[in-house]
Amino acid sequence: MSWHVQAPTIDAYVSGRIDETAAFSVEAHVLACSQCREALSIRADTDRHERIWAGVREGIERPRERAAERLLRAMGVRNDLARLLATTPMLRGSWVVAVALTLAFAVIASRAAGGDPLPFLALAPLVPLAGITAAFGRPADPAWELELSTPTGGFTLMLIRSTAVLAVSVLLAGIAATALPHAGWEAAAWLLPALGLTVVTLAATSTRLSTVTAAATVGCGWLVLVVVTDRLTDRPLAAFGPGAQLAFAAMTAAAAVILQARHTAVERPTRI
Amino acid sequence: MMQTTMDLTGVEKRFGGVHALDGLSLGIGPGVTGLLGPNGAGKTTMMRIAATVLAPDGGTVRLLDRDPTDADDRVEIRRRLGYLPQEPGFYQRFTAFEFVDYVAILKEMSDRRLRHEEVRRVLDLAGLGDVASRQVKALSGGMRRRLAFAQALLRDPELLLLDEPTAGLDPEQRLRFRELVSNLPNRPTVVLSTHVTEDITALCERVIVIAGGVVRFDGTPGTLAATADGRVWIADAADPRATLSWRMGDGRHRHIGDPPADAETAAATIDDAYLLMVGEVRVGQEVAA
Repeated sequence: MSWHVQAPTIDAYVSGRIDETAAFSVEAHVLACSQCREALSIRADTDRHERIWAGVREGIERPRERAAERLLRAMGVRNDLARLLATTPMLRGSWVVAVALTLAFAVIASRAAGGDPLPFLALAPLVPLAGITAAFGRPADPAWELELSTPTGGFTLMLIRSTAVLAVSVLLAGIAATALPHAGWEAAAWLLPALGLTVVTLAATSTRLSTVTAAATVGCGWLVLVVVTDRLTDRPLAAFGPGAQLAFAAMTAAAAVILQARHTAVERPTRI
Repeated sequence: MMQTTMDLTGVEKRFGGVHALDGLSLGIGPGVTGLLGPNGAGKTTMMRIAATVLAPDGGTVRLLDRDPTDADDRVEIRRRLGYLPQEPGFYQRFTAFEFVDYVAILKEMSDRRLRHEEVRRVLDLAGLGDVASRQVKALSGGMRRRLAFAQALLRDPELLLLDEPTAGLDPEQRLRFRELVSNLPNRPTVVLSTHVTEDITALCERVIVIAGGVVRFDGTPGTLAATADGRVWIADAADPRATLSWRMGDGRHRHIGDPPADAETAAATIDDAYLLMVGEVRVGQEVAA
């Protein structure tokens, strides 16, 4: 090597105060010259390099924000909570599309029944149950055991994900309800049953039942209740009247109390 | 008196008619402790109970001097716990970084900048820095194992429970794992459940053999090996008097049990002692009666 990079040039290079042409020249030279490479490494500001490298890695590796996460953050939700909500397994596009199609089918069925809202009212409360089955616990959540071992991975995560599922379900069902023919108070009569069935399902998971079994049992019970009530009484929509709504409210409150009392069983189940 | 981080007293767990743990009692303190035992011995059940993800049917458990049945204590234990399950599940679409970041959120790291620094640190420790932005579904089995190990290291846990951490790792990765565990800062309590006796020899200050849901041995690896001293012999042919025997690569037979008077005895290893202890374990097809 017939020449070496002079100390002032190295200093200018490591501090970033050098023009591009000279920088390229230094870089081409140090690739081939171990003496200058060593001189450069001695003077290099390693802290600065680490900061730059950390910035590069952050740019490459930082988790992609999904659409739901961006929306939640825009609504003022904290970044970590937005991430937990957005990672709810069921809140993917495919589930939302499936729910929208199911609700559209229920509206069409109600219209085909001459404007009878019963098919829609019977089906809408089941939508969040379907979401709950795949939001947490075995077999839907592959990382469930690992999550349970973290401070917020048990009961708290269950509530966060259930809330997310319920919110999306209510939003979609609310939009679908506006398409019901002659919709009066009946258009909202599914709301309390939906909330009640969801909380009852969550409370049932604190027993030995899996989320799938709990949701299936509660869902079937609901359909039987609706059909039997419809057959046995002359009053239309008897399962959704004021008395029934009060009963749903009481059931929701009771299930919430049971759920809170048994949250340890959710956090630390007797079998995995 | 030994300082203990994890105390199990008379712990029972049944699955149907099977006793997975049958009054198991043990206390484990700082340092690396290995759990050895055949499949179905109750190791994973014990690890799950210690990780607070499974409730025992009976007995008492204290972890980090706290009671996992108490809600506040349980949260505090989980803050100070790192857990690698035997079968860690992953969200396949997450990248390696996203997965560890997700667990870090569950471990209450709300500051994004600090959290990302911690995620990078543990990924680098597990040797996954170069594949941080690769999706989990594109990682090899060994890389996934290391990814699960990486999340267990978040926040430098005081109690680190590793259920078969070296399963699926190649020899170089296994060596790196041992180096990493032996150099963990602040001397945490590490409980390592494994079938790989080399890991026990290389890493553990203490080894506990569990079989049938109870502790069969508790001591140092050297003491475990010593239990088979004078009970291992080599012969040209299979010996029906041996408790266990197998044909080695050179064509000779290694026997464990009560040797005949003229036997050519060999130095006992942890493998020999372990196999002798859980004698019902069958080795290959050449098991003597």
